[in-house]
Amino acid sequence: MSMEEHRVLFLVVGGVLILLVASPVLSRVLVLPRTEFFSELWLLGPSHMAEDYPFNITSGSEYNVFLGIGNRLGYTAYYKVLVKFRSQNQSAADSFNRTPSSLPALYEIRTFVADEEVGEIPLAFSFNHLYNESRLQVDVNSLTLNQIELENLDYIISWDSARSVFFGNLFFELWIFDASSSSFQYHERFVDLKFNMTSQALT
Amino acid sequence: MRSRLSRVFFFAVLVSVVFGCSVNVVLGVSEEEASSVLVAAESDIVVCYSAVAEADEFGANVTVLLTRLGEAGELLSLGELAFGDGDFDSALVYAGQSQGMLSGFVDEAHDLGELAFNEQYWSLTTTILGSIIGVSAVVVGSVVFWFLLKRKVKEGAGK
Repeated sequence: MSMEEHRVLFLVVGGVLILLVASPVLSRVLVLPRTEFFSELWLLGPSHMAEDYPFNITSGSEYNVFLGIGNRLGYTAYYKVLVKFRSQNQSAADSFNRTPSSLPALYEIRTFVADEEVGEIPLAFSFNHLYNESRLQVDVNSLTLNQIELENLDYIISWDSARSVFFGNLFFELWIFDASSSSFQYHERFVDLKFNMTSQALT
Repeated sequence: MRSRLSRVFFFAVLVSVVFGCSVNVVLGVSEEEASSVLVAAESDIVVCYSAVAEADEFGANVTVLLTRLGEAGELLSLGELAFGDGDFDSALVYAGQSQGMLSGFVDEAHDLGELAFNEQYWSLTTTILGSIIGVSAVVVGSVVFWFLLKRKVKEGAGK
């Protein structure tokens, strides 16, 4: 092997060694910048899977779901989850226009999630509702959420012929604290549970 | 006997006054009072959130602080719910508990952030110094090795 060939081999081996030795610093410096910043919101059923969501709701029975929030915003976020309930004719959150429902929140869940972390909120809820046979409607009196009683709801749910149910919709809107305006902004995300509020009343 | 009776009477009056005062503190809270305490509690949460977010930026493990902040937030939510129901006494109590839970929070967050910042600083300094020394050793070693090799090849060619 000539001296020139030795030089090339030597330079290659030297270069690789230098890269290896400098790799701890390079790994800190050569980090690809994050380009997508977003939050995730999801709802899981009682077995922590995307299945077995409660649908036929019996008055007084407790149902369990898990609400999850993932933070990919690049900073610790202060979220507020607005718990709302509506019948078929009331204002819903709009995923197309990205607007929240105009209904007032029954309850607000405040939560803080660090960057690249996930927060999970177990939710146990039950409704107190009555089937009014003479008026063919369901009167929803109260909702108990995580042992917090939300009384005097006074929702009247009439028969939804399109869905063939007494339609009730419990939904969770995600709002985020905006430090620049010092206020909460709708974070354009919501998840919901659709119910048939009649299971006990009609059987 | 008379002095004993007067002592009992005095004690009864004292208990009544103390009890009466404490009842006044807890009960009969006005809407404005409850509202202002709720606003103050919300403001405290925002201040604490800013402190913990800053600590997180420095790479501190803020899990425990975030859990505490979440609990304070839950109490504030309960306070707002009570306020909405017109129960201003409970609203005041919940808001007070929320504020109490956050006492010393900002200092803790700052300490944690400072600790994480120092750790990051020393870790980075050690890494950079280690790499500089390592790269220098590789370069010097290579040059020495190269000259030794060159000399050996020349000596071999001379023979």
